Amino acid sequence: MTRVVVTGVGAITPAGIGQDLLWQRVLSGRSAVRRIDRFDAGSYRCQVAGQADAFQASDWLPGRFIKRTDRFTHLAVIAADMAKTDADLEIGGVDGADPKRVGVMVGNVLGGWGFAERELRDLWARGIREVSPYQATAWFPAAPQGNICIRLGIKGRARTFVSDRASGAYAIIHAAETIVRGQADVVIAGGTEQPLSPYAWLCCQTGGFLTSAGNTDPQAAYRPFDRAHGGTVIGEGSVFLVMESEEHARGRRAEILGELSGWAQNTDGYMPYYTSEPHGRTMGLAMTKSLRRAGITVADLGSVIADGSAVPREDAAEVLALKTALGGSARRIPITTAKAAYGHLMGSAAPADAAVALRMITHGVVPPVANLDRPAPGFDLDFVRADPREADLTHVLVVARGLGGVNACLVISRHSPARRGSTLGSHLNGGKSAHGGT
Amino acid sequence: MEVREAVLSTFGNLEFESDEIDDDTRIREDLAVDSTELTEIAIALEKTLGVVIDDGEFQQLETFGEIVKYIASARPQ
Repeated sequence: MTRVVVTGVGAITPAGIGQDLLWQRVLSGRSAVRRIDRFDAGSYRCQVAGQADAFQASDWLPGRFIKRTDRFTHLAVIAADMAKTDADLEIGGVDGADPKRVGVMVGNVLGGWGFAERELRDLWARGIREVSPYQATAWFPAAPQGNICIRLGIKGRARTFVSDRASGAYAIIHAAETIVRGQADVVIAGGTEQPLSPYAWLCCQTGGFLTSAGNTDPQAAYRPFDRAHGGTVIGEGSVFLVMESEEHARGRRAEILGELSGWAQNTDGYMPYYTSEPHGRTMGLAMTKSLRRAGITVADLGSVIADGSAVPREDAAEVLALKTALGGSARRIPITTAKAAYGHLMGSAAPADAAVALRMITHGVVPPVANLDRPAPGFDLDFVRADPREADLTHVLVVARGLGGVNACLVISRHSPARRGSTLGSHLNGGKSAHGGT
Repeated sequence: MEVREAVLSTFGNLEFESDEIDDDTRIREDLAVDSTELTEIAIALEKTLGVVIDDGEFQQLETFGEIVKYIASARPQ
């Protein structure tokens, strides 16, 4: 079976530009959430967010590109470019990867509303000649995908996934499946999000998952699994991974940062009052299936990066799902939620978690959940609190979920050429041979 | 000359590097302008210079010099 490895990471988040700052912020256990200053949020229930303020598009991109695209595209093309550089990946040319065998997969939830809101306001107030001709393409959720392909010279499969807050995980899973099926050698996969505009923010408020409890103390607002959890704090950012077949990575002598060894996705299909199951059984099944695909058991699992939306009913369902999936080991596997330190990045949340998981494995450290002072009643799992904890980590489970009951799980593993024996390999495939690949 | 400077200034406002443009500069080939950006240029020239531009005619223009000539002979709004 073709194995999928990660060889590069690019990250622009509220923690700063680059994956080092993301990792340092997560380790610190201190939140980068702040009061919103991109627009007047005074009339909204939630007035705090993670803002990627260090990123100024004009420092990175020409004016003619900026004028025709939204900030969610600016974030994405630079994060994808950073991932490519980190992977020391060349695309095209004599020595580079075949552009037709390189793909792009992007997760996004909202599209480019910052651009669209300005232009639609001009349309209603001043007429059609005042609307930028780029309005349609700038807003479109697939805009980052197309612009990444143009900038990096990519000519293979390109797709965008819109599956609420699990969108980025869907992109990574599809990238892995594309590689396993032999449809690409390399896929640059991740997500991007820029929710900081009046209408986009209103959509999130209407979605009912934002907290209103932290407006006077932004850094304490996002509290996954804590007794005082009251909802999510979202943020802007973009994170991309360079994923490739192990054979391709070895062929170009790339440094392998880790392996995506397992994944699974499913949907709750549930709608009394809220779109996710309160008992978390379907989510638990996704966790179990991802471990099975990785060819590991719960005993092999070193840590979990939980979704940790901090919406009380979602936190409760996730705890139940973890108890279902981890069984008797549930109380002895360290659990964290990295995003509490910078905000839930929605379309790029799971890619950010995957980047953190790679660092956790490299350094043998589980970061703490920012703001988790006292777990809510019944949340009797081994949450890592206050300080980072050393641990021998070979496999980390990443959990992503969103409205509509979408669940997606990733297993990030230390790369070991001999990790999978032939017996295990056939078990992983469910008895089926891999499609294509070598 | 006045019209040329005004057109060049409009291009500058649309993030073009003005010092890379002369009358022989080809809009599509040299400046990589696509049909959407050409529409943006036409709208900007209409608003800035107060002239009426026929979109069909404007899309046929090939060089910067041809745009200047077209604007110079365009009727006012």
